[in-house]
Amino acid sequence: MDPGTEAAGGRAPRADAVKKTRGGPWATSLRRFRANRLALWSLYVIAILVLVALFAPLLAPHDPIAIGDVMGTRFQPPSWTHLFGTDEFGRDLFSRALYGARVSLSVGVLAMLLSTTIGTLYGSVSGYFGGVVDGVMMRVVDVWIAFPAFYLMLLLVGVFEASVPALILILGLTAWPATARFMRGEILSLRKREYVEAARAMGLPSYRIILRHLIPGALSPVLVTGALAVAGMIGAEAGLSFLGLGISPPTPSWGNMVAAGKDTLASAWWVSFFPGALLTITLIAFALVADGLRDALDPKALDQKFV
Amino acid sequence: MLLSVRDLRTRFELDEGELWPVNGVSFSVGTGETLGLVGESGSGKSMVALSILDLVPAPGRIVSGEVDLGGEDLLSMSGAAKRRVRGGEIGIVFQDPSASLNPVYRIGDQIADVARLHRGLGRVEARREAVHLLGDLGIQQPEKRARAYPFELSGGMRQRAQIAIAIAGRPRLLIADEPTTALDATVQAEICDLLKHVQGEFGMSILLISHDLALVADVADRIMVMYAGRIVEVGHWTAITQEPRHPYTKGLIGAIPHLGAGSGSPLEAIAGTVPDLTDLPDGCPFHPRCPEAGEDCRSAVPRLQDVGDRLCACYRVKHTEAVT
Amino acid sequence: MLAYIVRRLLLSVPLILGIVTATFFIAHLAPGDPVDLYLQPHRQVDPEVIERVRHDRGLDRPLPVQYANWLTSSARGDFGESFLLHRPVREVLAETVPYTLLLILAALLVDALLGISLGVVSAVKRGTRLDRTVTLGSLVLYAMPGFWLALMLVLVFSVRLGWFPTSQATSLDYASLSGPGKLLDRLWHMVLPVTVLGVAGAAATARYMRGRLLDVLGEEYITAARARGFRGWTIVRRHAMKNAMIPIITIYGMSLPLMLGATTIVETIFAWPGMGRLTVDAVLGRDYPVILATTTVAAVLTVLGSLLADLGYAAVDPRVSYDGPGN
Repeated sequence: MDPGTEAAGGRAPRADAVKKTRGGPWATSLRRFRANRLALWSLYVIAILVLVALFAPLLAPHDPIAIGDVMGTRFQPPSWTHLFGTDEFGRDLFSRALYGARVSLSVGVLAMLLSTTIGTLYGSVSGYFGGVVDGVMMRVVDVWIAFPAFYLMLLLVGVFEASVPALILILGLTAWPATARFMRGEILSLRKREYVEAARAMGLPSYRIILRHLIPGALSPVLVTGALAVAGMIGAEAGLSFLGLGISPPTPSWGNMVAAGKDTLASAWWVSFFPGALLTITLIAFALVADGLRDALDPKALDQKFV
Repeated sequence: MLLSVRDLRTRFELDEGELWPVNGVSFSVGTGETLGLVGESGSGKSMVALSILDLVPAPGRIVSGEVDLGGEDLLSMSGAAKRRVRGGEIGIVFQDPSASLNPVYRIGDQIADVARLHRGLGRVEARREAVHLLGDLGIQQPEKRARAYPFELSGGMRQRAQIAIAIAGRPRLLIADEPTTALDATVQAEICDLLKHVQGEFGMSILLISHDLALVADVADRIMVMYAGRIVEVGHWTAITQEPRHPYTKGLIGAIPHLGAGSGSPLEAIAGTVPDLTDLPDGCPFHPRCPEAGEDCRSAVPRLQDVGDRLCACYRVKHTEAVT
Repeated sequence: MLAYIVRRLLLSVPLILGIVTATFFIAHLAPGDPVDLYLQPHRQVDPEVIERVRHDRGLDRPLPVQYANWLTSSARGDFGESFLLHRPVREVLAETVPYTLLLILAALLVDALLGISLGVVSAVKRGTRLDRTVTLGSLVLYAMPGFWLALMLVLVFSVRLGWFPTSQATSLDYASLSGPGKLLDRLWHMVLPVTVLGVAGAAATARYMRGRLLDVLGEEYITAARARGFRGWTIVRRHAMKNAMIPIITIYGMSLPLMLGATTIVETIFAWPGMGRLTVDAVLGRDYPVILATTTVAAVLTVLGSLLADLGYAAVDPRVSYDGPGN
C-alpha cells in the first residue's frame, strides 16, 4: 500500500550481513508459508471448495432445482437426510449450497483474473512509459476509483441482464483500477533497476521489457492482492445476488440463498444460515491465504511486545 | 569509575543462524573522560551503545554481563530505575538526526519533554531551557528554531538539536554514536567542537563511537578498537595512533593519510571485507585478513591482555614495558 | 489554506463530471425504451400518449442533446421525476440522503473508536494471545459478508431476544413520543444497522492501524525516545500515535465509497429509508432518473470525502504545506 515505509531504521542488525538463504527467495517464502498453520488450513479449505464445485453433481444427494412434493418437504430443519434442511419449495439446501460454490468460485476466480490482467497490463504500461501517457492513463484511473464501486456495479447489473458471464465481466471491469494504480507504483520503482536499464540499453522492444522483465519482478505483491481480490469478488457477487440483482433463482448462489431465507428467519433460520456460513468461511479462507502470502513474501521483524 | 561494562554479550537469533555483535566486551569510562570506540561498520559498536541502555532490538538479547553505573547494575534494575538512567544518567546521540528526531513534533517540545521528565521542570521553565540549550549549542534565533519541525532545519542544526535533547536531562555520560557520519564534511568539525564544548561546560563523560579513527583521535582521551564483536586493543590515544600494535589497528591507522607512519609510505587498505558475523572463522576472527597471522591464530580466540602500555588481543603482541 | 481548498474543489469538478458522464451513458446503453418502463403499469397506452410523454421528457432528442439537457438541469439540482414514485427526484433525495448520512457518520464513529483502540492495543501487545485474538477476530469480521452478519444479528437480537427492532428508522408511534423518547427511539433503531456497518469498518481500521503503528514503533525515533527514558505507553501516546494516525486519515477518506456500497445492503435489510435502499429499488425498477441522481450524489460525497481527508492530512502533518504536496 505504501512502499518505502518498511525500511524501519535500526531494527534488524545489518540485514545484508545475514543474507544466506537456502534455495532462493521463493523457496524461503514457501517454507514460511508452510509454517503458517492458519494459512495452510485455509488453503486446504479452498482446495476442498474447488473439489466440491467441480464435483457438485456427484456429491449432491438431491436435485438442487427441481421442486418436489412442496407441502410434504418444505422448511424441514437440518437432519441426516437434509444436512442443511430444506427451503420453502422443499429443495435440499445442502445440494443447493454445493452448487452455489460453483457460482461463487467461478465468478470470484475469473473476475479476479480479468481485473488483475487488465490492471497489471494497464499499470505496467502507464508506469513504464511515464510522462504524458502516464498522466492521462492515471487520470482515467482517478475517475474510476472515485466512482463509488458498488454503485457502478448496481448500475451495470441494472442495465445488463445479470448472468454468470455478465457478472464476471462487470466485476472484472469495475475492479481493475486499484490493481493498475498499485502496479504502476511497483513498476516505477522497478524501472530504475539495473537489469531493466540493461535490457533497454540492449534495445529490447518495450512490450518485451514489460512482459519479461517488469511484470515478473512485481508478481509477488500481485499474488497477495489477487487472493484478496477473489474474496472481494465473491463477496460482491453474493451481495448483488442477495439484493436480487445478481444470479437469480432458481439457479443457486450463496447470495440469493441467504436472501431467500431472510423473511422466514424466525421460523426457518437454517435457510439463511448455512449458505451465509459457507460464504463467510470461503471469504475468511481467502483473506487468511492473502495474509499468509504477504507475511511469507515480505517478512516483518519478529514478534515482540512493545510495552 | 563512572561506568563499568563487564563481559557484555548480546546475541541475535535469526533464521540464518545466531550472531554475536557484542561478544564479551569489557571497559570502563572515568568521570569527565572521553572514550573513543572505533571499528568498521558491522563490528558491533552501535550494539554496544544499545546494550548499555538495555535497548537491544528484537530478535536480539543481552545474554550476560553487567553495566555498572555508580555501583548498580543497570541490566538488573527495575523498569522505572532503568528509565531514570536513560536520558537522566546516560544521554545518547544517534547517527542520523533525521531518523531519530520525531518528524511531527516541534524541536523545542522534544527538548523540553526530556527536561521535564528528568529534571522535573515545569512547562514554562522547560520551554525556556530548550531555547537556552539551542542557543548554547550555537543555533541562531533559538526562539524561532524551537518552534520548527525537524524537516525545516538543516542537517547540522538537526544534529545540534539532537545533542540538546541528549543533554537536556543533564546526564553524566553522553554516548555519541557516529554523530557526524550523516553530515557534510564542513559541519562534522563543528559538531566535534560542540561535543568538546558540552563536555567542558557540563563536565560529562563521553563515549564517542565512530568508524573514523581520525575523528576519534581528535576528541578522545583513550581509544578502544573493536572487531567482530570484540575489543581488540585499548590504550591512550597517543599510544593507539602513534604506535598501534594490533595488526587490525595498524591497518586502520595505515588507511588514514596524515596519521600514517612515514611520510612517503603509500596508503594501505586492509585486505578482505568485514566478516559475516553469522559465519566467523575459528580462532582469531581477524586472521583471514591479517598479514601477520600464523597457525596459532586459527586455533583459539586471543584474549585481551595487558601488554604494558595498553590492552591488546593478539598472539603476535608480547608484553613490553611502557615506553614512556 | 483557502486557496488550497478552492484549488482542490476546482480539481474535483472534472472528476465528478467524468463520473456523471460515465453514469449517463452507461444508463442509456440499456436495451429498451425508458418510456415503456414508465408506462408499463398502464398496459394498453395510446401511441400518441407515448409520443407525448417521450417528447415531454426530451427522450425523442439525440443522445448528446439529452446529455447536455440533463447536465444543465442536474447542475441546478433538478434531477427530473422518478419513474416509479412519480415525484421530483430532488424531493426524494432530500428525504433519503440525511438518513444515509446519519448511518454513515455513526458507523464511522464506531469504526474509529473501536478500530483505532483495538489496532493500538494489538500492535503494542504484539505477539501475545491478545494480539492474535484481535488480529484473527478482525480478519473474520472484515471478511464476513455484511448482509449475513446483519441477518444473524437480527435473528439473535431481534427475533430471539427481542432487544432491537428488525427494521425501519423509527417506531410506528414515533409521532406520539416525547422529545427524549424520540431520540431514544431513533438510537434504538440505529443500533443494529450501525453495528453491521461499523464493525466491518472497525475491523479494517484495526488491521491497518496495527500495521501502521508497528511500522512507526520500528522507527529510530521511537528507539531514541526509549533511550531518553520515556515510558512505553507515553511513547505510544505522545510519540507514535500521531505518526501512525496521519495515513489513517487518508484511509478514512477512501473508505467512504465502500461505506456507501455497504449502506445499500444494510438499508435494504433494515428497511432504512435512505439513499442506498432508494438506489437498489431504482435499479430493480429501472428508475433511471433516480439512478443517475443517487450515483451523482454518491460521487459528490466520495470526492468530498477525499477532499476532507486531504485537508485533515494537511492540518495534522506539519510536513504538508497548503501550497501543494510537499515531502
